[in-house]
Amino acid sequence: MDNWQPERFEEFYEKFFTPVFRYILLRVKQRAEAEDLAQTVFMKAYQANPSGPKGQELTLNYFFIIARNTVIDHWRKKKDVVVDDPEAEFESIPDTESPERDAMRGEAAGAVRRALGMVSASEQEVLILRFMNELSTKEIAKLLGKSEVAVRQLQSRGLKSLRGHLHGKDI
Amino acid sequence: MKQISDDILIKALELREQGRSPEQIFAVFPEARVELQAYFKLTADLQAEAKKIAPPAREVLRGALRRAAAMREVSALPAAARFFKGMPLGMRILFPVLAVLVIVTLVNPSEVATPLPPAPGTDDQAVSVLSAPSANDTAEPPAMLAKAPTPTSPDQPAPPETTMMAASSEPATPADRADSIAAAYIAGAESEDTAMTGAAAEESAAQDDSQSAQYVAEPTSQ
Repeated sequence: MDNWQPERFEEFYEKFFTPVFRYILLRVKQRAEAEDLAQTVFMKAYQANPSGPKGQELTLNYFFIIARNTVIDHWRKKKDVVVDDPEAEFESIPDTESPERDAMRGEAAGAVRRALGMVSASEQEVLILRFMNELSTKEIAKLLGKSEVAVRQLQSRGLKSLRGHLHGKDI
Repeated sequence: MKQISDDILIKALELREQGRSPEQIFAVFPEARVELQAYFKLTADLQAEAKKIAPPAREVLRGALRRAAAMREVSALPAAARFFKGMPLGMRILFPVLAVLVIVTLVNPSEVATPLPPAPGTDDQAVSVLSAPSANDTAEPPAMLAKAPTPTSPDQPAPPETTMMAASSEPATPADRADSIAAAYIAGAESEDTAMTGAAAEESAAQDDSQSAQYVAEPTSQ
């Protein structure tokens, strides 16, 4: 069974590519990087198993696992990069406090999104997957390799932290 | 800002995930109604924020799938085909030709080395010196060397050692010829100098015999 038929393109785009891109963008913040990484995810998925995971139908969870690993690899590589030009490096740092820059990039990030960038990485990931990508707690637990109870705790703490940041900013 | 306990929030979120309406959940936790309302609004804001993110153009995904398919095609090709893929036609021809030449050279170098044509006034022996000796040449016994052909041109004398060996090993009778061949086979491992010394001694012994015969004949004539 070939999962990569051209007639399934629209399904790929709506069902898999858009959520994967959304997840990656919320994690890496830069749109250009997110587009590159989303493409990398699909290339990896295709090369790893052209017939889908273990010959089964492709699922969103399968793509999220690859996306999550791709983002982690991306961060690792970024840490290893030696800064040759500090000025350029400074410019490339996403400025969550600058709506003008967001507008210039066509990324009118809202207050909620900016506050989301301030919570811890694990809480942020759970909130993105649960409320922005609408995965169930069970799916998130499977994806992250945690128990459902742990995911619910992260979800609760993340919401509290997010609310605290929003109130702190008086929004 | 009043904070509700983690347990209430976790339970409320669980009920929401199960499909309960906010009103049903507020009825379960009436004391946390205001707080829960704020959290439910926050989750709705997160969902609305996600909808604001414009997905990339379809061409981005098309490009990724095209590249993945191209990479799969390339990786499915045999190693030789991958090597020649994208190479100009001239290079595709040149590489195999060079490869064959290299292989032939490695397998049998003496076959590839073309001997020079003999120049006018030279003999075959001079040409054979230029070409590399083969295994058969080295295994040849010295007696065979002694039978080397005489120079075709009278102006060009044969190499000294060949001349000497030919002269020394030229027996007068068939019996002597057989003796000399046998001696040459026995002394096959010996050097040329040794062979030459033996031939010279033989020659001097013959001279001595003729001289003694002359001395013996002289008193008779006197």
